[in-house]
Amino acid sequence: MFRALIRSLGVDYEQWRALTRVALKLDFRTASGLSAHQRSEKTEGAYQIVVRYAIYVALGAMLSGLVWMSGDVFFSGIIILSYTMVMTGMMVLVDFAAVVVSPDDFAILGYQPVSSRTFFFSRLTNVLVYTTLLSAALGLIPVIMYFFAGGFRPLLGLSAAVATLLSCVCTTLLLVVVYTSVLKVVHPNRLRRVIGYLQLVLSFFIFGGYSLLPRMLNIERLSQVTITKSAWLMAYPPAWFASYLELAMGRWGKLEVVPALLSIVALIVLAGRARGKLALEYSDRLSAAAAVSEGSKKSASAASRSGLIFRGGEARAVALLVRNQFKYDQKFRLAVLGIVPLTVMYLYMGMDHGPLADPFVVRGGGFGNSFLVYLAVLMFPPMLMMNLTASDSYQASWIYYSTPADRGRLVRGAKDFVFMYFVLPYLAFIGAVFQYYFRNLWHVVLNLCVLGLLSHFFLQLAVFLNPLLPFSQPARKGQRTAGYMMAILFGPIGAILLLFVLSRWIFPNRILLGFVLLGLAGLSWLMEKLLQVRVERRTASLEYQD
Amino acid sequence: MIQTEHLTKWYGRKVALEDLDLRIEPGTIFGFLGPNGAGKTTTVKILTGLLRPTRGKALVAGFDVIEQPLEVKSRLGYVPETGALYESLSPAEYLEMVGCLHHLDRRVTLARTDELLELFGILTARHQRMTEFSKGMKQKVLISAALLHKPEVLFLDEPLNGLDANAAMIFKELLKKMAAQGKTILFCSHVLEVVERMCTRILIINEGKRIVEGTAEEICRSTNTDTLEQAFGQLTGSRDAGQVTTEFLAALEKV
Repeated sequence: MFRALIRSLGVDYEQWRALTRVALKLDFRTASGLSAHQRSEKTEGAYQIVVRYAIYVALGAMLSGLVWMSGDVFFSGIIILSYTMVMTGMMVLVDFAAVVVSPDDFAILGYQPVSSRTFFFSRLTNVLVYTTLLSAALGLIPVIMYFFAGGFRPLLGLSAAVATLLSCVCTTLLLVVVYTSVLKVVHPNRLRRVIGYLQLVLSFFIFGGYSLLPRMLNIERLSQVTITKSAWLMAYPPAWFASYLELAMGRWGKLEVVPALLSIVALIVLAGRARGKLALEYSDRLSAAAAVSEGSKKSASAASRSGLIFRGGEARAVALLVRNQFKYDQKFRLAVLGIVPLTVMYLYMGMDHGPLADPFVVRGGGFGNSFLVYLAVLMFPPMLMMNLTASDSYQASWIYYSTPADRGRLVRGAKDFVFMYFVLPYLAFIGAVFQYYFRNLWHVVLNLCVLGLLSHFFLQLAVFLNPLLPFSQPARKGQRTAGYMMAILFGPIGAILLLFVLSRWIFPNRILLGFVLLGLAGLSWLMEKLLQVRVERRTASLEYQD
Repeated sequence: MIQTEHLTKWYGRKVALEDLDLRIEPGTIFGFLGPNGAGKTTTVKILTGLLRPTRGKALVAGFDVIEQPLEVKSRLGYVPETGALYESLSPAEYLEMVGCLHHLDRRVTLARTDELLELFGILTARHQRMTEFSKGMKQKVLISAALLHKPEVLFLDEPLNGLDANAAMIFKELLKKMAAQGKTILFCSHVLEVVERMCTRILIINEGKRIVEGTAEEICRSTNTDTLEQAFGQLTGSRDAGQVTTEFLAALEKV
């Protein structure tokens, strides 16, 4: 029957099954990386997948507390479904070229007798399996809670499961439609640039919608853990799916039925639009975009500019490589650009609730959301470092092994590049923001010194823990998403703690502050030495893996 | 059979292929030669359905490449120059996937997989992931995938890349026998000695245009040269290798 259903859609069942099976095998195997020479690949892959899904289940468990505490299933549903949709969106955005369409597919399948429709269905199946596994992990505990909180309510639990699944499908389809529409319209010459901008816009949309949620819900009502439905709230897609829970509770009013219908309409429209979008030709366009040069008008001047800071040796080689990877490696560029909106949203949220608090003045409390600004400075450089080690061109890393280059210097060069080109400009910007709010240059300078040293220390720590050569590892599906999620989940705790310690004990005491600055500088120096030893030891034992 | 009429491909303003007329009869091993960027791979990509021509017509095994792409693709075997395959799979898994895409019975796929991998001496590695394979081993899998469904027409773009001497010898012998069975084989290579020995007819193109077509002897005779290599150099306007290298080494010393 299933076979007949698939065939009735104009899809070749045998080909669809073969392609889907292969795509799933590839997903789970490439997720494990290619380090078979050093350790058991299967064990490593299974471990990484288990850890990743355990994180999602843990986040779901944290959210499920809402179901238990709140008497308003609509309210808890909106929060949980917002998380599900944001996480799905983030995964598709960050790993788009791996999750949705890969340029490799065309090179391998283009000459096989596979129709575009069959290819589309196999890709869609693969994408949906990937994203629904995430939503299943995220929604597992909350759904169980809906089943049992306040007595056994099977209909409520079932509707929660359906809402979680469909919200994830809706987000995936939306992003697939937007991206593939762009692929159709834009010439390969400009595709990489346009996709980069689109990534930025969509990231702002997703993270922005997520951060605006508390404002729409109204803080007073949030404290009472109930929610009043309004037309504004009905414009928020997670509310459409959350209304399933209301229907399961027997509330069949206009404000419950209309949003539920909206969700169905959205799914039908998106599925219709997506149909035929994920054709093999899109993979062709992606591969063409990867091959086509965007011109070399600026190459000469840019080449000379890149030498301003790093004048020679391994550091300059890394600087040239990173700059060109950013220009021409779409995945790397998208991954880096994916961090920018998150940073901007954190800055916005940090400054949203009134002026930034000067930690020299507030002394241990009342700094509101200011910690988010500190979080952005501390967390995002290590996230950038993570992106700097993976690339589809990782096989080109043979060059590190066949030249007399010092591999330790190459690794440290990548760290220095991130600090010089990302952290310092960012600190300069933050300095301007601080000066605007604090009106005290001395406080700003001291704040920046502490932040700069801490940020550098975190970068050193990231490299110390995982000393890898630039762009020497294969890009793994979902790895970046998991990293971002860890940062989003646990970063704020560290940033709050840091700001508390700084404002409570260190900034008020000038002598202590002096010691801390000296200590941090010393720590940075010591870490650099340790890093040198560790990186040299580790890189000496590294082997090229093609 | 392969046939093209006025086959043309433009990349923006750049002409990759211009008015190429071809007719390759069954039972022919057709050498397709040209310097880098001459348009060989573009032609092969059009004939295998990977690219759409800007203008012109192409028939493979009697079917139109543009109008009936699935009919064409089910009758052709292709060994791409890029060597692209899903390396996280094992050869057995990859060939099973290709068998499914060509609607082969699973038992037939398994039997042919074993035969092909045995032929190329990698049967014992059939369940190993290809991430650990050498270039030559991957090439053997690609060739096996191209032959699995017994195609009528074979497109081979640098098929000997990475193959060891024994495998290359077996493969060349196999091609001759397949041609004798009436298969049409288009063979692109820069190894002119191999082309000279293997191919029944040869076409040389340059800058997207046909330069000369004939047997190796006919081409040598028309250019008044002794070998295909010399004829190729003369026809594609390459500079004198001895003079160029002397100048280069002298320049290197000066810097």
